[in-house]
Amino acid sequence: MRTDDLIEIMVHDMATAPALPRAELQRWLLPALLAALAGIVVVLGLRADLTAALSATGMKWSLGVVIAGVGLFAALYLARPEAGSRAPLMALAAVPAAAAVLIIAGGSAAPFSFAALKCLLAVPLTAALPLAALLVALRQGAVTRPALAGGFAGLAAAGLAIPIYALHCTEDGAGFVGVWYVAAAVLTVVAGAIAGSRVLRW
Amino acid sequence: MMRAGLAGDAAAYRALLMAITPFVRAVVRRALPSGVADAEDVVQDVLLAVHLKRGTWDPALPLAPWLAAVTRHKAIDALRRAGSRTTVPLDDLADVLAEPAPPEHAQGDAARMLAALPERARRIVTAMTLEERTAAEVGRELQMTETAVRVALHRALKGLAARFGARSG
Repeated sequence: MRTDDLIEIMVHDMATAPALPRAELQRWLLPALLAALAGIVVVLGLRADLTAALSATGMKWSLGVVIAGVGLFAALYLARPEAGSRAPLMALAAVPAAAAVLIIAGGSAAPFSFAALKCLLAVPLTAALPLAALLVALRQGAVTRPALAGGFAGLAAAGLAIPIYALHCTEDGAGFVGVWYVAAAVLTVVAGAIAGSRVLRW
Repeated sequence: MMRAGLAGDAAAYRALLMAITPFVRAVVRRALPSGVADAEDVVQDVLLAVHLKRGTWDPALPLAPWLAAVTRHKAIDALRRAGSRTTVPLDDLADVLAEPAPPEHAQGDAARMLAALPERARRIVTAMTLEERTAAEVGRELQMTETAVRVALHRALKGLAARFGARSG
């Protein structure tokens, strides 16, 4: 096929609007979050003292909002082919910073426990569907750094999963959140980076 | 021109694609040592990507950095594939040689990829481009709605892009 013919085909295909990561995300993210929420409520149940402890979950919500914000912003930025990696990597420093602040605020790092193991498993699992939604959206983009973009998608998904899991988890100490919630987020980032390096190529 | 093209102006879009092709060709030829891959295949791969990924260009920004990034990405991709083809360890090579002849998709050009498309998709592509007929006319001939014809054409293009990516990948 000659290149001119290919151009002609593409001109004829112009009427089909190109899909956009943002639009795709708007379609899939909310259903994924609702499904994750339903999963937590059905499988693990809400903490018994939820209404009384709402203020205690505030720290987890703040942590979630911060890393979800950084993750979403960086992932959507990396959906553009000309995106550099320096700005997103610098934004990533927010995560260890948040962990350090929480551990210092808590006075000490919480040791490993059954609750920690549950957190390490439940947060990535809760993040799985939002992560899938993010990766589907990023596939509509033109990611030139698949592992990095996937990692930020994982960060965003973990940030969204943390407030959901917080509805069940009764460990409110800053030392616990700073170590185990952050570790769970790191696991999700790694999963996102591995998945991204596979599914975000084009 | 890209802005007009994105807004649905066919003539502007064609002019834009024509205008960027020499640039893309020059970059690709410089990036690929001669004989590594058919440069024109890579050029077509880039143009397809420009078309399918045009939504990721922000019209508020200049086009050149975006285009350069897409071209670089596809050129590196071609180099990487060529590299993995030429630096296969000898052990693997022996395995490959022991097998019956591999399918001959590795060197396929765009014409052969087009031929590999489903019959109807190929008919739509040739009717609309070579015979310059509208989606409505093609739809009447194939008893499809105009929208279905457009969707089929779009799928055919995506299929082409996937085949570019899959070659010896």
